Amino acid sequence: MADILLSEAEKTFILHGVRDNVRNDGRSCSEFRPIELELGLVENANGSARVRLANTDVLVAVKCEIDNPSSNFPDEGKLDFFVDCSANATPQFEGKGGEQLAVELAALMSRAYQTRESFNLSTLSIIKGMKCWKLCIDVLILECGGSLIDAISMGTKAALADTKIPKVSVIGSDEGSLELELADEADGREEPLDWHHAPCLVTLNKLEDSLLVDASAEEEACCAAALIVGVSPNKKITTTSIPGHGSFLADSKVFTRALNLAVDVGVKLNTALEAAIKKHQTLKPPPRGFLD
Amino acid sequence: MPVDHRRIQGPECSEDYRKPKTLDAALLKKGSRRADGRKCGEQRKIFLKPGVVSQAKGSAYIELDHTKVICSVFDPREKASRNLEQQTVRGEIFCEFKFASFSGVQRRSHQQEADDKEYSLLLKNALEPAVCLHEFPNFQVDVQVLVLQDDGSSLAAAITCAGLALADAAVPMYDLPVGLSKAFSGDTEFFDPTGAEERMCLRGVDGESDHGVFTIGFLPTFNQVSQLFHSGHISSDRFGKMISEVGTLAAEVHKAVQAILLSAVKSSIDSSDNSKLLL
Repeated sequence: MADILLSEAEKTFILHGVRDNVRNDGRSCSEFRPIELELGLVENANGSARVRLANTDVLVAVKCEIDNPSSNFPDEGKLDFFVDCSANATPQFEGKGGEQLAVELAALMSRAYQTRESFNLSTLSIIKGMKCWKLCIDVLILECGGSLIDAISMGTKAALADTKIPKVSVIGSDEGSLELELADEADGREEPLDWHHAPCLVTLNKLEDSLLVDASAEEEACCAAALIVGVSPNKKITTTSIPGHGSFLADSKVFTRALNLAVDVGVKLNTALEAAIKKHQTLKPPPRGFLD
Repeated sequence: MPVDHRRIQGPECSEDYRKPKTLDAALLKKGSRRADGRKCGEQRKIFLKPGVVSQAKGSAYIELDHTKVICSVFDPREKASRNLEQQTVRGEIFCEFKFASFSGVQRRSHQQEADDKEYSLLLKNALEPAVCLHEFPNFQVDVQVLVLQDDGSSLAAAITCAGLALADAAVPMYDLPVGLSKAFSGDTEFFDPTGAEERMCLRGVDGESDHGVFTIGFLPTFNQVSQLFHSGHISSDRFGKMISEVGTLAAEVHKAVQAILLSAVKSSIDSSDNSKLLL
Protein backbone atom coordinates (compact mmCIF):
# COMPACT_ATOMS: atom_id res chain seq x y z
CA MET A 1 0.00 0.00 0.00
CA ALA A 2 1.15 3.54 -0.54
CA ASP A 3 3.35 4.84 2.25
CA ILE A 4 2.13 7.64 4.45
CA LEU A 5 4.52 9.46 6.75
CA LEU A 6 3.07 10.24 10.15
CA SER A 7 4.61 12.04 13.08
CA GLU A 8 4.67 10.46 16.54
CA ALA A 9 2.06 12.94 17.73
CA GLU A 10 -0.33 11.97 14.95
CA LYS A 11 0.16 8.28 15.70
CA THR A 12 -0.48 8.86 19.40
CA PHE A 13 -3.61 10.82 18.56
CA ILE A 14 -4.99 7.95 16.48
CA LEU A 15 -4.05 5.44 19.19
CA HIS A 16 -5.79 7.36 21.97
CA GLY A 17 -8.91 7.69 19.87
CA VAL A 18 -8.97 4.00 19.05
CA ARG A 19 -8.72 3.12 22.73
CA ASP A 20 -12.03 4.95 23.21
CA ASN A 21 -13.50 3.29 20.09
CA VAL A 22 -13.51 6.56 18.15
CA ARG A 23 -11.54 7.06 14.97
CA ASN A 24 -10.45 10.23 13.19
CA ASP A 25 -13.60 10.43 11.10
CA GLY A 26 -15.97 9.58 13.95
CA ARG A 27 -16.47 5.89 13.11
CA SER A 28 -16.27 3.07 15.62
CA CYS A 29 -13.61 0.40 15.22
CA SER A 30 -15.89 -2.00 13.35
CA GLU A 31 -17.50 0.39 10.89
CA PHE A 32 -16.86 0.74 7.20
CA ARG A 33 -16.57 4.05 5.45
CA PRO A 34 -19.40 4.98 3.04
CA ILE A 35 -19.31 2.71 0.01
CA GLU A 36 -20.51 3.64 -3.46
CA LEU A 37 -21.28 0.97 -6.00
CA GLU A 38 -22.00 1.23 -9.67
CA LEU A 39 -22.67 -1.62 -12.09
CA GLY A 40 -22.47 -2.01 -15.84
CA LEU A 41 -20.10 0.82 -16.69
CA VAL A 42 -17.85 -0.90 -19.19
CA GLU A 43 -19.73 -1.70 -22.41
CA ASN A 44 -17.19 -4.05 -23.91
CA ALA A 45 -17.01 -6.25 -20.84
CA ASN A 46 -19.57 -8.94 -19.98
CA GLY A 47 -19.90 -7.47 -16.51
CA SER A 48 -18.35 -4.61 -14.62
CA ALA A 49 -18.55 -2.75 -11.35
CA ARG A 50 -16.97 0.23 -9.72
CA VAL A 51 -16.51 0.51 -5.98
CA ARG A 52 -15.63 3.68 -4.18
CA LEU A 53 -14.70 3.27 -0.50
CA ALA A 54 -14.11 6.84 0.68
CA ASN A 55 -10.99 7.62 -1.39
CA THR A 56 -10.21 4.10 -2.56
CA ASP A 57 -11.44 3.66 -6.11
CA VAL A 58 -11.49 0.32 -7.87
CA LEU A 59 -12.91 -0.70 -11.26
CA VAL A 60 -13.51 -4.40 -11.93
CA ALA A 61 -14.43 -5.81 -15.34
CA VAL A 62 -15.27 -9.41 -16.25
CA LYS A 63 -14.71 -10.72 -19.74
CA CYS A 64 -15.70 -14.21 -20.91
CA GLU A 65 -13.63 -16.27 -23.27
CA ILE A 66 -14.01 -19.80 -24.57
CA ASP A 67 -11.08 -21.95 -23.55
CA ASN A 68 -10.03 -25.59 -23.19
CA PRO A 69 -10.48 -26.92 -19.64
CA SER A 70 -7.47 -28.24 -17.78
CA SER A 71 -6.98 -32.00 -17.99
CA ASN A 72 -7.12 -32.41 -14.20
CA PHE A 73 -10.59 -30.85 -14.02
CA PRO A 74 -12.28 -31.48 -17.38
CA ASP A 75 -15.76 -30.48 -16.28
CA GLU A 76 -14.84 -27.13 -14.81
CA GLY A 77 -14.33 -23.67 -16.22
CA LYS A 78 -11.60 -21.22 -15.25
CA LEU A 79 -11.37 -18.02 -13.26
CA ASP A 80 -8.40 -15.77 -13.89
CA PHE A 81 -7.61 -12.70 -11.79
CA PHE A 82 -5.45 -9.86 -12.92
CA VAL A 83 -4.85 -6.71 -10.91
CA ASP A 84 -3.43 -3.57 -12.47
CA CYS A 85 -2.08 -0.92 -10.15
CA SER A 86 -2.40 2.07 -12.41
CA ALA A 87 0.07 4.91 -12.05
CA ASN A 88 -2.97 7.16 -11.57
CA ALA A 89 -3.28 5.93 -8.03
CA THR A 90 0.15 6.96 -6.78
CA PRO A 91 3.46 7.75 -8.51
CA GLN A 92 5.02 4.71 -6.78
CA PHE A 93 3.02 2.53 -9.16
CA GLU A 94 4.77 3.89 -12.21
CA GLY A 95 6.35 1.28 -14.46
CA LYS A 96 6.92 -1.90 -12.47
CA GLY A 97 6.51 -0.28 -9.07
CA GLY A 98 3.06 -1.66 -8.44
CA GLU A 99 3.80 -5.14 -9.71
CA GLN A 100 4.48 -6.76 -6.35
CA LEU A 101 1.31 -5.37 -4.84
CA ALA A 102 -0.67 -6.42 -7.92
CA VAL A 103 0.63 -10.00 -7.68
CA GLU A 104 -0.23 -10.15 -3.98
CA LEU A 105 -3.78 -8.90 -4.53
CA ALA A 106 -4.44 -11.18 -7.50
CA ALA A 107 -3.13 -14.21 -5.59
CA LEU A 108 -5.32 -13.37 -2.59
CA MET A 109 -8.41 -13.11 -4.79
CA SER A 110 -7.65 -16.45 -6.52
CA ARG A 111 -7.30 -18.11 -3.11
CA ALA A 112 -10.59 -16.66 -1.91
CA TYR A 113 -12.45 -17.98 -4.96
CA GLN A 114 -10.63 -21.31 -5.10
CA THR A 115 -13.21 -23.65 -3.59
CA ARG A 116 -16.42 -24.93 -5.13
CA GLU A 117 -18.43 -23.43 -2.30
CA SER A 118 -17.32 -19.90 -3.19
CA PHE A 119 -17.75 -20.19 -6.89
CA ASN A 120 -18.87 -23.32 -8.68
CA LEU A 121 -16.65 -23.63 -11.73
CA SER A 122 -18.66 -26.52 -13.16
CA THR A 123 -21.36 -24.05 -14.17
CA LEU A 124 -18.84 -22.64 -16.65
CA SER A 125 -18.37 -25.88 -18.52
CA ILE A 126 -19.70 -26.05 -22.11
CA ILE A 127 -18.52 -29.41 -23.37
CA LYS A 128 -16.86 -31.65 -20.83
CA GLY A 129 -13.18 -32.05 -21.51
CA MET A 130 -13.24 -29.86 -24.59
CA LYS A 131 -14.65 -26.38 -24.13
CA CYS A 132 -15.36 -24.20 -21.13
CA TRP A 133 -15.81 -20.57 -20.24
CA LYS A 134 -12.86 -18.70 -18.84
CA LEU A 135 -13.78 -15.62 -16.83
CA CYS A 136 -11.01 -13.05 -16.94
CA ILE A 137 -11.52 -10.73 -14.01
CA ASP A 138 -9.48 -7.57 -14.45
CA VAL A 139 -9.15 -5.15 -11.58
CA LEU A 140 -7.98 -1.61 -12.15
CA ILE A 141 -6.93 0.42 -9.14
CA LEU A 142 -7.70 4.04 -9.79
CA GLU A 143 -7.04 5.43 -6.34
CA CYS A 144 -5.38 4.05 -3.23
CA GLY A 145 -6.79 5.07 0.13
CA GLY A 146 -6.51 2.03 2.39
CA SER A 147 -8.57 -1.21 2.41
CA LEU A 148 -7.66 -2.06 -1.17
CA ILE A 149 -8.44 -5.77 -0.94
CA ASP A 150 -11.84 -5.06 0.66
CA ALA A 151 -12.81 -2.81 -2.23
CA ILE A 152 -11.48 -5.27 -4.80
CA SER A 153 -13.43 -8.19 -3.34
CA MET A 154 -16.65 -6.16 -3.27
CA GLY A 155 -16.06 -4.98 -6.82
CA THR A 156 -15.42 -8.54 -7.99
CA LYS A 157 -18.59 -9.86 -6.41
CA ALA A 158 -20.61 -7.01 -7.91
CA ALA A 159 -19.02 -7.43 -11.33
CA LEU A 160 -19.83 -11.15 -11.27
CA ALA A 161 -23.42 -10.26 -10.37
CA ASP A 162 -23.51 -7.95 -13.37
CA THR A 163 -22.00 -10.57 -15.70
CA LYS A 164 -24.17 -12.25 -18.29
CA ILE A 165 -22.73 -15.31 -19.99
CA PRO A 166 -23.92 -15.84 -23.55
CA LYS A 167 -25.98 -19.00 -23.87
CA VAL A 168 -24.17 -21.48 -26.02
CA SER A 169 -25.45 -24.66 -27.64
CA VAL A 170 -23.48 -27.39 -29.37
CA ILE A 171 -24.42 -28.39 -32.91
CA GLY A 172 -23.02 -30.79 -35.45
CA SER A 173 -20.73 -33.40 -33.99
CA ASP A 174 -19.79 -35.36 -37.14
CA GLU A 175 -16.18 -36.47 -37.36
CA GLY A 176 -15.33 -34.87 -34.09
CA SER A 177 -15.78 -31.28 -35.27
CA LEU A 178 -18.03 -29.40 -32.92
CA GLU A 179 -19.64 -26.09 -33.50
CA LEU A 180 -20.87 -23.77 -30.82
CA GLU A 181 -23.83 -21.57 -31.51
CA LEU A 182 -24.96 -18.53 -29.60
CA ALA A 183 -28.60 -18.59 -28.56
CA ASP A 184 -31.19 -16.48 -30.38
CA GLU A 185 -32.40 -13.17 -29.04
CA ALA A 186 -35.85 -14.65 -28.58
CA ASP A 187 -34.70 -17.52 -26.37
CA GLY A 188 -32.90 -15.21 -24.00
CA ARG A 189 -29.42 -14.30 -25.12
CA GLU A 190 -27.61 -14.48 -21.86
CA GLU A 191 -27.84 -15.99 -18.43
CA PRO A 192 -26.51 -14.73 -15.14
CA LEU A 193 -23.85 -16.41 -13.01
CA ASP A 194 -24.33 -17.90 -9.58
CA TRP A 195 -22.49 -15.27 -7.62
CA HIS A 196 -24.38 -15.38 -4.32
CA HIS A 197 -21.82 -17.43 -2.42
CA ALA A 198 -18.83 -15.36 -3.46
CA PRO A 199 -16.74 -14.16 -0.50
CA CYS A 200 -15.93 -10.66 0.63
CA LEU A 201 -12.49 -10.03 2.05
CA VAL A 202 -12.16 -8.01 5.23
CA THR A 203 -8.89 -6.53 6.45
CA LEU A 204 -8.42 -6.22 10.19
CA ASN A 205 -5.60 -4.02 11.39
CA LYS A 206 -4.32 -4.49 14.90
CA LEU A 207 -3.54 -1.38 16.91
CA GLU A 208 -2.56 -2.25 20.50
CA ASP A 209 -5.53 -4.32 21.69
CA SER A 210 -8.09 -3.05 19.23
CA LEU A 211 -8.92 -4.36 15.81
CA LEU A 212 -9.75 -1.81 13.13
CA VAL A 213 -12.03 -2.60 10.23
CA ASP A 214 -11.49 -0.65 7.01
CA ALA A 215 -8.45 1.29 8.14
CA SER A 216 -7.62 4.47 6.30
CA ALA A 217 -4.10 4.89 4.96
CA GLU A 218 -3.08 6.91 8.05
CA GLU A 219 -4.39 4.24 10.41
CA GLU A 220 -2.62 1.51 8.45
CA ALA A 221 0.66 3.35 8.98
CA CYS A 222 0.20 3.06 12.77
CA CYS A 223 -0.77 -0.58 12.95
CA ALA A 224 1.69 -3.31 13.77
CA ALA A 225 -0.04 -6.23 12.12
CA ALA A 226 -2.95 -7.00 9.85
CA LEU A 227 -5.11 -10.01 9.12
CA ILE A 228 -7.01 -10.47 5.89
CA VAL A 229 -10.02 -12.80 6.12
CA GLY A 230 -12.24 -13.91 3.26
CA VAL A 231 -15.83 -14.41 4.51
CA SER A 232 -18.61 -16.02 2.52
CA PRO A 233 -22.31 -15.20 3.15
CA ASN A 234 -22.83 -18.45 5.09
CA LYS A 235 -20.30 -17.43 7.75
CA LYS A 236 -17.49 -19.62 6.43
CA ILE A 237 -13.91 -18.46 6.04
CA THR A 238 -12.45 -19.04 2.60
CA THR A 239 -8.98 -17.61 3.05
CA THR A 240 -6.75 -15.91 5.60
CA SER A 241 -3.41 -14.24 5.29
CA ILE A 242 -1.11 -12.09 7.38
CA PRO A 243 0.36 -9.48 5.04
CA GLY A 244 3.38 -7.31 5.70
CA HIS A 245 5.95 -7.72 8.43
CA GLY A 246 3.65 -8.01 11.43
CA SER A 247 2.97 -11.02 13.61
CA PHE A 248 0.27 -12.00 16.10
CA LEU A 249 0.55 -13.57 19.50
CA ALA A 250 -0.27 -17.28 19.26
CA ASP A 251 -3.16 -16.93 21.64
CA SER A 252 -6.34 -18.64 20.56
CA LYS A 253 -8.44 -15.99 22.33
CA VAL A 254 -6.82 -13.24 20.25
CA PHE A 255 -7.45 -15.08 17.01
CA THR A 256 -10.94 -16.17 17.92
CA ARG A 257 -11.90 -12.60 18.73
CA ALA A 258 -10.37 -11.32 15.50
CA LEU A 259 -11.95 -13.99 13.33
CA ASN A 260 -15.36 -13.66 14.94
CA LEU A 261 -15.23 -9.92 14.28
CA ALA A 262 -14.16 -10.57 10.70
CA VAL A 263 -16.99 -13.07 10.15
CA ASP A 264 -19.50 -10.70 11.72
CA VAL A 265 -18.43 -7.77 9.59
CA GLY A 266 -18.02 -9.94 6.50
CA VAL A 267 -21.53 -11.36 6.68
CA LYS A 268 -23.01 -7.87 7.16
CA LEU A 269 -20.95 -6.61 4.24
CA ASN A 270 -22.15 -9.46 2.03
CA THR A 271 -25.77 -8.78 2.95
CA ALA A 272 -25.46 -5.05 2.31
CA LEU A 273 -23.71 -5.66 -0.99
CA GLU A 274 -26.41 -8.06 -2.18
CA ALA A 275 -29.11 -5.57 -1.28
CA ALA A 276 -27.32 -2.78 -3.12
CA ILE A 277 -26.83 -4.95 -6.20
CA LYS A 278 -30.50 -5.96 -6.23
CA LYS A 279 -31.55 -2.35 -5.88
CA HIS A 280 -29.25 -1.31 -8.72
CA GLN A 281 -30.55 -4.04 -10.99
CA THR A 282 -34.22 -3.31 -10.38
CA LEU A 283 -34.20 0.47 -10.23
CA LYS A 284 -31.69 1.14 -13.03
CA PRO A 285 -30.30 4.51 -11.94
CA PRO A 286 -30.13 7.26 -14.55
CA PRO A 287 -26.91 7.42 -16.58
CA ARG A 288 -24.13 9.52 -15.07
CA GLY A 289 -20.74 10.59 -16.23
CA PHE A 290 -18.16 7.84 -16.04
CA LEU A 291 -16.09 9.13 -13.15
CA ASP A 292 -18.83 11.26 -11.67
CA MET B 1 7.46 -14.39 -22.97
CA PRO B 2 10.41 -14.74 -25.40
CA VAL B 3 11.29 -18.23 -26.59
CA ASP B 4 14.18 -19.84 -24.69
CA HIS B 5 16.63 -21.06 -27.33
CA ARG B 6 18.86 -22.91 -24.91
CA ARG B 7 16.36 -25.64 -24.25
CA ILE B 8 14.75 -28.06 -26.63
CA GLN B 9 11.13 -27.05 -26.71
CA GLY B 10 8.65 -29.88 -26.86
CA PRO B 11 5.44 -29.57 -28.85
CA GLU B 12 3.39 -26.67 -27.48
CA CYS B 13 0.43 -28.57 -26.17
CA SER B 14 2.08 -31.54 -24.57
CA GLU B 15 1.16 -32.90 -21.18
CA ASP B 16 2.44 -35.51 -18.83
CA TYR B 17 0.53 -38.78 -19.29
CA ARG B 18 0.23 -39.25 -15.51
CA LYS B 19 -2.29 -37.57 -13.25
CA PRO B 20 -1.40 -36.41 -9.73
CA LYS B 21 -2.15 -39.05 -7.10
CA THR B 22 -5.57 -38.91 -5.50
CA LEU B 23 -6.56 -40.21 -2.10
CA ASP B 24 -9.14 -42.78 -1.24
CA ALA B 25 -11.96 -41.01 0.62
CA ALA B 26 -12.23 -44.02 2.95
CA LEU B 27 -9.05 -42.80 4.62
CA LEU B 28 -11.09 -39.99 6.08
CA LYS B 29 -12.51 -42.30 8.72
CA LYS B 30 -11.36 -41.12 12.10
CA GLY B 31 -8.74 -43.25 13.78
CA SER B 32 -7.56 -44.90 10.62
CA ARG B 33 -3.95 -44.63 9.58
CA ARG B 34 -2.98 -42.41 6.69
CA ALA B 35 -1.71 -43.61 3.34
CA ASP B 36 1.90 -43.60 4.53
CA GLY B 37 1.09 -45.24 7.85
CA ARG B 38 1.20 -42.12 10.03
CA LYS B 39 -1.38 -41.16 12.61
CA CYS B 40 -3.38 -37.99 11.95
CA GLY B 41 -1.32 -35.83 14.27
CA GLU B 42 2.08 -37.19 13.32
CA GLN B 43 4.78 -35.22 11.58
CA ARG B 44 6.89 -36.81 8.85
CA LYS B 45 10.50 -37.59 9.69
CA ILE B 46 12.63 -34.53 9.05
CA PHE B 47 16.11 -34.47 7.60
CA LEU B 48 17.78 -31.08 7.94
CA LYS B 49 21.27 -30.11 6.97
CA PRO B 50 22.81 -26.63 7.04
CA GLY B 51 25.73 -25.48 4.92
CA VAL B 52 25.02 -27.52 1.79
CA VAL B 53 25.75 -24.83 -0.78
CA SER B 54 29.39 -23.78 -0.55
CA GLN B 55 29.04 -20.59 -2.62
CA ALA B 56 26.23 -19.16 -0.52
CA LYS B 57 26.73 -17.32 2.75
CA GLY B 58 24.29 -19.69 4.42
CA SER B 59 22.18 -22.56 3.18
CA ALA B 60 20.03 -25.43 4.33
CA TYR B 61 18.36 -28.51 2.92
CA ILE B 62 15.22 -30.07 4.32
CA GLU B 63 13.57 -33.35 3.50
CA LEU B 64 10.10 -34.27 4.72
CA ASP B 65 9.84 -37.76 3.29
CA HIS B 66 9.22 -36.93 -0.39
CA THR B 67 9.17 -33.14 -0.07
CA LYS B 68 12.67 -31.82 -0.69
CA VAL B 69 13.50 -28.14 -0.38
CA ILE B 70 16.83 -26.36 -0.59
CA CYS B 71 17.44 -22.77 0.49
CA SER B 72 20.39 -20.43 -0.04
CA VAL B 73 20.98 -17.09 1.64
CA PHE B 74 23.39 -14.57 0.19
CA ASP B 75 25.36 -11.69 1.66
CA PRO B 76 23.53 -8.43 2.19
CA ARG B 77 23.75 -6.24 -0.89
CA GLU B 78 22.62 -2.72 -1.45
CA LYS B 79 18.91 -2.46 -2.07
CA ALA B 80 17.95 -2.16 -5.69
CA SER B 81 16.13 1.00 -4.70
CA ARG B 82 13.33 1.89 -7.02
CA ASN B 83 12.60 5.04 -5.15
CA LEU B 84 15.21 7.32 -3.64
CA GLU B 85 12.53 8.52 -1.22
CA GLN B 86 12.33 5.06 0.26
CA GLN B 87 15.64 5.24 2.13
CA THR B 88 14.38 3.67 5.30
CA VAL B 89 16.05 2.61 8.50
CA ARG B 90 15.13 -1.00 7.81
CA GLY B 91 16.74 -3.60 5.66
CA GLU B 92 14.80 -5.98 3.50
CA ILE B 93 14.57 -9.67 2.82
CA PHE B 94 14.11 -10.50 -0.81
CA CYS B 95 12.56 -13.97 -1.11
CA GLU B 96 12.43 -15.94 -4.28
CA PHE B 97 10.44 -19.14 -4.09
CA LYS B 98 10.50 -21.50 -7.01
CA PHE B 99 9.18 -24.95 -7.74
CA ALA B 100 11.71 -26.75 -9.92
CA SER B 101 10.38 -27.74 -13.34
CA PHE B 102 10.56 -31.42 -12.37
CA SER B 103 9.17 -31.03 -8.83
CA GLY B 104 5.60 -32.10 -9.58
CA VAL B 105 3.86 -34.50 -11.91
CA GLN B 106 3.25 -31.84 -14.57
CA ARG B 107 6.31 -30.00 -15.81
CA ARG B 108 6.42 -26.43 -14.64
CA SER B 109 7.84 -23.40 -16.40
CA HIS B 110 11.46 -22.55 -15.71
CA GLN B 111 10.37 -19.03 -14.89
CA GLN B 112 8.30 -18.02 -11.90
CA GLU B 113 4.61 -18.71 -12.29
CA ALA B 114 1.78 -17.09 -10.34
CA ASP B 115 1.92 -19.46 -7.39
CA ASP B 116 5.72 -19.18 -7.16
CA LYS B 117 5.32 -15.41 -6.82
CA GLU B 118 2.55 -15.84 -4.25
CA TYR B 119 4.61 -18.23 -2.17
CA SER B 120 7.58 -15.86 -2.36
CA LEU B 121 5.47 -13.18 -0.73
CA LEU B 122 4.02 -15.53 1.88
CA LEU B 123 7.51 -16.75 2.76
CA LYS B 124 8.76 -13.20 3.07
CA ASN B 125 5.88 -12.30 5.39
CA ALA B 126 6.63 -15.36 7.48
CA LEU B 127 10.35 -14.63 7.83
CA GLU B 128 10.35 -10.85 8.26
CA PRO B 129 9.22 -10.68 11.92
CA ALA B 130 12.03 -13.05 12.88
CA VAL B 131 14.88 -11.07 11.31
CA CYS B 132 16.48 -7.98 12.91
CA LEU B 133 15.91 -5.77 9.88
CA HIS B 134 17.28 -2.69 11.61
CA GLU B 135 20.75 -4.28 11.67
CA PHE B 136 21.26 -3.80 7.94
CA PRO B 137 19.49 -0.63 6.87
CA ASN B 138 19.20 -0.03 3.13
CA PHE B 139 20.56 -3.48 2.43
CA GLN B 140 18.69 -6.53 1.24
CA VAL B 141 19.36 -10.16 2.04
CA ASP B 142 18.50 -12.59 -0.75
CA VAL B 143 16.76 -15.81 0.20
CA GLN B 144 16.44 -18.26 -2.68
CA VAL B 145 14.23 -21.27 -2.09
CA LEU B 146 13.98 -24.11 -4.56
CA VAL B 147 11.56 -27.00 -4.14
CA LEU B 148 13.22 -30.01 -5.69
CA GLN B 149 10.32 -32.34 -5.08
CA ASP B 150 6.85 -31.38 -3.96
CA ASP B 151 4.81 -33.81 -1.93
CA GLY B 152 2.76 -31.42 0.18
CA SER B 153 3.67 -28.87 2.89
CA SER B 154 6.31 -27.28 0.68
CA LEU B 155 5.71 -23.78 2.02
CA ALA B 156 5.93 -24.99 5.61
CA ALA B 157 9.15 -26.86 4.82
CA ALA B 158 10.49 -23.75 3.07
CA ILE B 159 9.84 -21.58 6.15
CA THR B 160 11.76 -23.97 8.41
CA CYS B 161 14.54 -24.39 5.85
CA ALA B 162 14.88 -20.65 5.20
CA GLY B 163 15.02 -20.01 8.95
CA LEU B 164 17.91 -22.44 9.33
CA ALA B 165 19.66 -21.02 6.25
CA LEU B 166 19.38 -17.48 7.63
CA ALA B 167 20.87 -18.66 10.92
CA ASP B 168 23.63 -20.45 9.02
CA ALA B 169 24.36 -17.20 7.18
CA ALA B 170 24.72 -15.39 10.53
CA VAL B 171 21.92 -12.96 9.70
CA PRO B 172 20.87 -11.38 13.03
CA MET B 173 17.55 -12.88 14.06
CA TYR B 174 15.18 -12.72 17.00
CA ASP B 175 14.04 -16.28 16.67
CA LEU B 176 14.13 -19.38 14.47
CA PRO B 177 10.93 -19.47 12.42
CA VAL B 178 9.21 -22.81 12.06
CA GLY B 179 6.70 -23.73 9.36
CA LEU B 180 3.72 -25.99 10.03
CA SER B 181 0.87 -27.15 7.89
CA LYS B 182 -2.41 -28.89 8.47
CA ALA B 183 -5.09 -30.09 6.12
CA PHE B 184 -8.54 -31.20 7.08
CA SER B 185 -11.81 -32.32 5.62
CA GLY B 186 -14.87 -32.52 7.83
CA ASP B 187 -13.72 -33.89 11.17
CA THR B 188 -10.54 -35.52 9.98
CA GLU B 189 -7.33 -33.58 10.32
CA PHE B 190 -3.98 -34.32 8.72
CA PHE B 191 -0.95 -32.71 10.29
CA ASP B 192 1.89 -32.20 7.80
CA PRO B 193 -0.14 -33.37 4.79
CA THR B 194 1.29 -35.07 1.75
CA GLY B 195 0.53 -33.76 -1.73
CA ALA B 196 -2.44 -36.08 -2.25
CA GLU B 197 -3.92 -35.17 1.16
CA GLU B 198 -3.48 -31.46 0.42
CA ARG B 199 -5.20 -31.72 -2.95
CA MET B 200 -8.09 -33.69 -1.47
CA CYS B 201 -8.64 -31.22 1.34
CA LEU B 202 -8.47 -28.22 -0.99
CA ARG B 203 -11.09 -29.68 -3.29
CA GLY B 204 -13.25 -31.00 -0.51
CA VAL B 205 -14.99 -34.34 -0.46
CA ASP B 206 -18.64 -34.40 -1.44
CA GLY B 207 -20.79 -34.41 1.63
CA GLU B 208 -18.21 -32.77 3.88
CA SER B 209 -18.83 -29.08 4.13
CA ASP B 210 -15.70 -27.91 5.94
CA HIS B 211 -12.37 -28.42 4.26
CA GLY B 212 -9.12 -26.59 3.81
CA VAL B 213 -5.37 -26.36 4.18
CA PHE B 214 -3.48 -24.17 6.70
CA THR B 215 0.12 -23.10 6.62
CA ILE B 216 1.46 -21.39 9.73
CA GLY B 217 4.73 -19.56 10.22
CA PHE B 218 5.54 -19.64 13.92
CA LEU B 219 8.19 -18.04 16.14
CA PRO B 220 8.41 -20.46 19.11
CA THR B 221 10.45 -18.37 21.55
CA PHE B 222 8.09 -15.42 21.39
CA ASN B 223 4.95 -17.44 20.77
CA GLN B 224 4.13 -15.30 17.74
CA VAL B 225 2.35 -16.30 14.58
CA SER B 226 4.08 -14.58 11.70
CA GLN B 227 2.00 -16.12 8.92
CA LEU B 228 -1.41 -17.72 8.95
CA PHE B 229 -2.20 -18.75 5.44
CA HIS B 230 -5.33 -20.68 4.73
CA SER B 231 -7.40 -21.68 1.74
CA GLY B 232 -10.67 -23.59 1.90
CA HIS B 233 -14.12 -23.32 3.41
CA ILE B 234 -14.25 -23.47 7.20
CA SER B 235 -15.81 -21.91 10.26
CA SER B 236 -13.88 -19.62 12.56
CA ASP B 237 -13.71 -21.92 15.58
CA ARG B 238 -11.29 -24.21 13.73
CA PHE B 239 -8.70 -21.48 13.87
CA GLY B 240 -8.89 -21.14 17.63
CA LYS B 241 -8.23 -24.84 18.01
CA MET B 242 -5.36 -24.75 15.53
CA ILE B 243 -3.69 -21.80 17.26
CA SER B 244 -3.91 -23.41 20.70
CA GLU B 245 -2.15 -26.52 19.35
CA VAL B 246 0.51 -24.75 17.33
CA GLY B 247 2.91 -24.32 20.25
CA THR B 248 3.13 -28.03 21.00
CA LEU B 249 3.23 -28.99 17.32
CA ALA B 250 6.11 -26.62 16.61
CA ALA B 251 8.14 -27.63 19.67
CA GLU B 252 9.44 -30.84 18.08
CA VAL B 253 10.56 -29.16 14.88
CA HIS B 254 12.06 -26.22 16.78
CA LYS B 255 14.13 -28.54 18.98
CA ALA B 256 15.43 -30.37 15.93
CA VAL B 257 16.46 -27.13 14.20
CA GLN B 258 18.20 -25.85 17.33
CA ALA B 259 20.09 -29.12 17.84
CA ILE B 260 21.26 -29.17 14.22
CA LEU B 261 22.41 -25.58 14.36
CA LEU B 262 24.30 -26.24 17.57
CA SER B 263 26.09 -29.29 16.17
CA ALA B 264 26.97 -27.36 12.99
CA VAL B 265 28.56 -24.59 15.06
CA LYS B 266 30.40 -27.12 17.23
CA SER B 267 31.81 -28.99 14.26
CA SER B 268 33.00 -25.77 12.61
CA ILE B 269 34.78 -24.81 15.86
CA ASP B 270 36.35 -28.27 16.05
CA SER B 271 37.55 -28.15 12.45
CA SER B 272 39.08 -24.69 12.95
CA ASP B 273 40.92 -26.03 16.01
CA ASN B 274 42.29 -28.86 13.87
CA SER B 275 43.52 -26.42 11.23
CA LYS B 276 45.47 -24.58 13.93
CA LEU B 277 47.25 -27.86 14.72
CA LEU B 278 48.26 -28.22 11.08
CA LEU B 279 50.12 -24.89 11.27
